[in-house]
Amino acid sequence: MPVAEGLAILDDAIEVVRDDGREDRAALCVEVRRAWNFSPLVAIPIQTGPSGQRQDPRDDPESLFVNVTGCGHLFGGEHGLVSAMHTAWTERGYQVRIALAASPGVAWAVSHAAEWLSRPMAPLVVSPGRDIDWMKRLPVEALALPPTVVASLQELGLFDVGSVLELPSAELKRRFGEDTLSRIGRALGRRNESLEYLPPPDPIVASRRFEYPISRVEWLTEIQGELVEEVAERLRLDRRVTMQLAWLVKSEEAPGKSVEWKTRLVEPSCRASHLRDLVLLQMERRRWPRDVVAIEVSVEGMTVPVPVQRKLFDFHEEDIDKDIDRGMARLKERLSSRLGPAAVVRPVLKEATIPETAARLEAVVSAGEAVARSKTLTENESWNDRCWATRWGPANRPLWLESAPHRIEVVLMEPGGPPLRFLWKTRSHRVAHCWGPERIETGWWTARGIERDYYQVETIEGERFWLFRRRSHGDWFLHGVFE
Amino acid sequence: MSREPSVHQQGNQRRRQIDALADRIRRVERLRQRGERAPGWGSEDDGRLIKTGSVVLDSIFPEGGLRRGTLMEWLAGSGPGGGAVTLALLAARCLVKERGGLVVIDQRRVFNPVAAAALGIDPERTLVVRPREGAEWLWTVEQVLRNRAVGGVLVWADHLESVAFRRWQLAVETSGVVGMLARPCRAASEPSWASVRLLVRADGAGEWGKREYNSSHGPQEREGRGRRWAVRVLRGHHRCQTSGGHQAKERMRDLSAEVSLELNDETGRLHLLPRLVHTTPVDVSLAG
Repeated sequence: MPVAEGLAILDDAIEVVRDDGREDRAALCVEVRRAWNFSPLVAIPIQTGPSGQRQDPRDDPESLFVNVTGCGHLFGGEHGLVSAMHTAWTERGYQVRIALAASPGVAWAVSHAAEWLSRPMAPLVVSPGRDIDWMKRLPVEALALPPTVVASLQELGLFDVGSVLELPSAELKRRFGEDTLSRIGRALGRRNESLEYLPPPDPIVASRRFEYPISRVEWLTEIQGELVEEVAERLRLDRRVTMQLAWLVKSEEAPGKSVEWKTRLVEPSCRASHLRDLVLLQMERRRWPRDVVAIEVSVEGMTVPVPVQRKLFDFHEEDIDKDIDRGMARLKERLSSRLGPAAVVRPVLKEATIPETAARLEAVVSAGEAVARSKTLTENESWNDRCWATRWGPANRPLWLESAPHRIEVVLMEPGGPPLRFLWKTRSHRVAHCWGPERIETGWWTARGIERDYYQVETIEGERFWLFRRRSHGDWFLHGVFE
Repeated sequence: MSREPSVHQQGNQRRRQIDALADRIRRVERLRQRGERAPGWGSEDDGRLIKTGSVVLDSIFPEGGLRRGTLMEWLAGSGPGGGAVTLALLAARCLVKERGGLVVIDQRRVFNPVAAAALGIDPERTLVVRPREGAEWLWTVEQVLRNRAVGGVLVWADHLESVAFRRWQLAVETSGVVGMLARPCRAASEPSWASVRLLVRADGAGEWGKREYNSSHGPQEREGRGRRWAVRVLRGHHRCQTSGGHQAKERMRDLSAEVSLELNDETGRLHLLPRLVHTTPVDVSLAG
């Protein structure tokens, strides 16, 4: 109904705000920050004015154009990318339609298809070469033509893009003008279209240069703390968080060279106290160079946080899980900062012939890594269901495995068979039982060839050890202990 | 056909919501006055008894499970290869599911996650920390034991000063973490702040398998690689309750019971073995 009629009925109960698109565009500018998490190339509609008067529907301040060329692999593929984008906005309560296509025109049209066709608002990905197939099924509004042209096409009985494309181009040009033909080409991606991308955010860098070189650790630590406060404040003002700080120190001790290191986080943060704490822990294992002349810190891996409202009273399971994840993230950060990233690791098992390479230890703190909470063992899952090393039972591999096997002295052994008595760590061990040999060898083509006959031996005291004989030389090694 | 609630009904609904909120605020304030946390994974969870999932293991522990906020010592009575840590990890399987999972402090850099996985320790829920020996190791263990998000901790402690031990005990009491300390046999004579002390000995006695070394035949081949242990509880944490149902002060008491366990290497299950005390000669006349 007209505004005047509504006011007459409801009087003071409603507020009428004139739509000039400025507020919508301002809100879009805020969302550009979120879009920068996925690509540095983001464009928004430029023209303003009331929506009813805009001649180009693509100028409505309701869409963002994000050029994600070459970005899909960072998210596990194009489907992973659109899914992450969808999550980034829906978590904040927005209803968002996302479409990925080879041209801006097709992407705009397909993203609006859900509205025109009353379809679910799930993200859509148009496969390469399928642009025209998608467009043909859409209504004429998908061509982003002026409303008058759309009305004329509908009067002529042309309701979908497919029927419009059946008309000769000359006929379209004669009836509706060159501009309409140009817009149809733009919508179908047949015309090269350049978008005006917004400039990416300024990098956040803080630095100090000293007139005289500084070597006192207390002063350098204090200056370092000031720099952290500075970047944290700028992050706070920009409403962003970071995953990594990059440090660069120049000194007269090594002129022309600089010392660089990074402070990595598991969860992004902008809290000055938290960042300072991690930096201090990290400096406990680092040494400042002498005669420092400059210190610089730059923020890397910035992102826009997803605000999560904490509940005061209801402690649901998902809230507890988030608290636990946060607690573990903080622990990993503190340990990694103090001990080094290589000292805080998570095992990843893999099929490998060489026992010492059957597990890889991955640092939990690394650039861009998202540590996900894995599913837990269920109550009813049996031990056998979750035996990762599928070939091994609980008694086949030792809990204590030396990264480099220790050579041992075998005092007595059976010819070609297991040892009967051996020396290890100044103790003599008499073997009561043995199992083996288990032959482990690599192919001749591998760089690190091994030929080992393993024996699991149990001494008369009941201790168990994992020994092997190197077949090429006949010498014996202790590789593990069944602790 | 539904009707919207009247203004009067909306007012009642709002009043009820306000009353419920006020009640919750009063409860939170009462808890804070008592120095406790609001319900959740706080105070209610900190002293909880966790079942290991193995009836056999639960029967060993004095309280029938692992108590949150305690330290447990596993003393290797038979030396490093005796299997005490294997038994500790079998008990720690339940801790992998708790909170943020299991943290293994591996300062010796010899922990084999493949073997742990074969015992049922999920590597995705296991964090391995490798500090250097000395002050760095002490700091690391304390940091981990203090963190409420951790489910359980396994640490090898060959040498442990009493002051550091006491700090660890206070840390777990605050955080509710279960700390498993793998220690050498000689630590049994040292003072301990652990609530539970278990001496694990590889059971080399008895009729199971051919344990006696036969010098003329050499080492014996045997079917299966299952292991057997004798476990003695040197100290157990015991909670007493009066007849009135009020929980009395906890007291420590020594237990001298020893149990025999066997690990089936095919099924991975633990079995309790009966201990033969003595054989009674059969009366031939009764056999008839």
